Amino acid sequence: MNPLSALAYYRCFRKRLLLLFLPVMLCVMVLFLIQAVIVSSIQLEHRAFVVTRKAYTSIQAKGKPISLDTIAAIRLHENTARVAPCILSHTEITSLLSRIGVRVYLLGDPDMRLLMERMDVSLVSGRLPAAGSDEIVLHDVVARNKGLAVGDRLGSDLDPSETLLGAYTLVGLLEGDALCGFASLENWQTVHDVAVPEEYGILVMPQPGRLAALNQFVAYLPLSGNELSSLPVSTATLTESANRIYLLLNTVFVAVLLINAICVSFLTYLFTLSRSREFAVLNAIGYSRRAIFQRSLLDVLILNLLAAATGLLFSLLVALGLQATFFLAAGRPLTLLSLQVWLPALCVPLASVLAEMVAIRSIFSRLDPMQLLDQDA
Amino acid sequence: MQLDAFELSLVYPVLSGPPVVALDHVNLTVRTGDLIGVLGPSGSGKSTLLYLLAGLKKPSSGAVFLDNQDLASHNDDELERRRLASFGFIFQRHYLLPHLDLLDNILLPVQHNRPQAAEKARQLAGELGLDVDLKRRPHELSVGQRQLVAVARALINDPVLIFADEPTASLDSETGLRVMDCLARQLHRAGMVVVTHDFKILHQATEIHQLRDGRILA
Repeated sequence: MNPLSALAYYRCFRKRLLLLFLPVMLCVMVLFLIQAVIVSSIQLEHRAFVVTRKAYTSIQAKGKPISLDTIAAIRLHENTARVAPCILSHTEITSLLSRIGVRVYLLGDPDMRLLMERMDVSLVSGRLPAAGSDEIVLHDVVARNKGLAVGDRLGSDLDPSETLLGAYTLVGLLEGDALCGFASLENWQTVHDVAVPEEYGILVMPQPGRLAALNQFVAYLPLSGNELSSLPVSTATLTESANRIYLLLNTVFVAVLLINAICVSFLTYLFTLSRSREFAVLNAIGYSRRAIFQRSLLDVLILNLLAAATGLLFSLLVALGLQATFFLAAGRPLTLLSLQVWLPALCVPLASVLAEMVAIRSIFSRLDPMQLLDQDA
Repeated sequence: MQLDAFELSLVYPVLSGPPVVALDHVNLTVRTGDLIGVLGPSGSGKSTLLYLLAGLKKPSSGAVFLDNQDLASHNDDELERRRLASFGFIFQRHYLLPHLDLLDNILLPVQHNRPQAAEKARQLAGELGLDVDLKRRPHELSVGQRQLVAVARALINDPVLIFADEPTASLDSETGLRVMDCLARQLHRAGMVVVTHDFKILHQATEIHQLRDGRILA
């Protein structure tokens, strides 16, 4: 057994090992799980609010109908691929942090298929709503979140707390990155007795790769108070709300990091100090002072990496367990592969190692082996 | 091998008052086969002399030459390597590492070929009368037994110079004499400096010096 081996030392002093190991492991777990929950909530909002807007720009009438001249101008623009009459409705789902509005697009059949293709969503079960029917398809995650299955009915006519106006029967489930739903525009026209749905809302699909240019053009059109919904507007809104959450999250992150670093560096200081005489003897026998110092640093590094790896493994197992038993079924999938989830947890051992290095260095810079042995003489 | 101490002095400056002279112009030579005894009361500078001879401390003035090479000309790394390979230390206290078993404690100075050294460690333990399982840890032993382990540790590398600081202080007289016999058996290849205030253990010494207030008495 190498006398400088941490394995030999901590085999004998298991409590010390635990005192250094557990705080790092627990902090890694806490940060990983907090990050996973919050990032997942924001990710869910991003999928509903931003990802959908990558396929179109929409204008919805507010008070006044949309001018047909405006619609004609958009239709003629070089970056426009398709202008579809579309009414936007929405239903709400809940994340662990907030309620999230999910768009339901009331579209004619060919436009519905075109938008689904552009959003890269597809049917995973059931079928699309029939033209003129009160049928609806929702993203699988949305349906799970609302506790719905194919054949169930939903809408404000059935449940006053529901934000989706009317009454619909769920006939299909979607899959894909974008969270959304689709229903028949013809049904809405019949119910509301509308002949020209374009005046109430349009959805503009750009030529491939021309969304930014199209948004620029639409932003300068005289919309007379009508509501413009585009990728830049949605992104800005989400970023603003996400930033507030991230500020809180970062405060928690820094606090956890600091408290852990202070605790473990203090313990390391005490434990290293208690080994001063041992280091003095080793140095007197002929062990290089530098080798003893480097070995101490290596021990700290290995210990922290092991603690962090254990913490990550445990938290990943916990997260996967919760994902399988609860989160997926509840339509609140955890995002576990994002760097945002892993990075703060990985900072824990890094901060600990740095703080502990400072503690060890401060002891070694003052360590005088002969003075220690003299005291005993 | 020859170790020469030439006009060796160590003075500690004191902020308010005259400096403390721990060692005052000491001259000493140790050759292979020498067992140099240094007698003196507590605080006379015996341990300091050992530390200076071994290069563990730097003298205020004077020099220590090992085979005509000034120890001060070596950097710390070289001195550490030299101590590990060629010197053996027996401290007043055993200073065994509590987390290592007895065998690993004895093998502390061994850097290479540990299996062969382990066999030698068992042999040394036997010669010293240390009749315990070497897989035990220091806290399971009496103070005297721990000191025997420390002696074995000092001898495991076949050192050419052995520095012993009160090596028998924690041993009964019979064990103390056995330890001194064991040390004396190394004299065919090593020189030795033994610091003590017990005259009886120096019956095999080739030279005995009296140290008082940092000076060797004539």
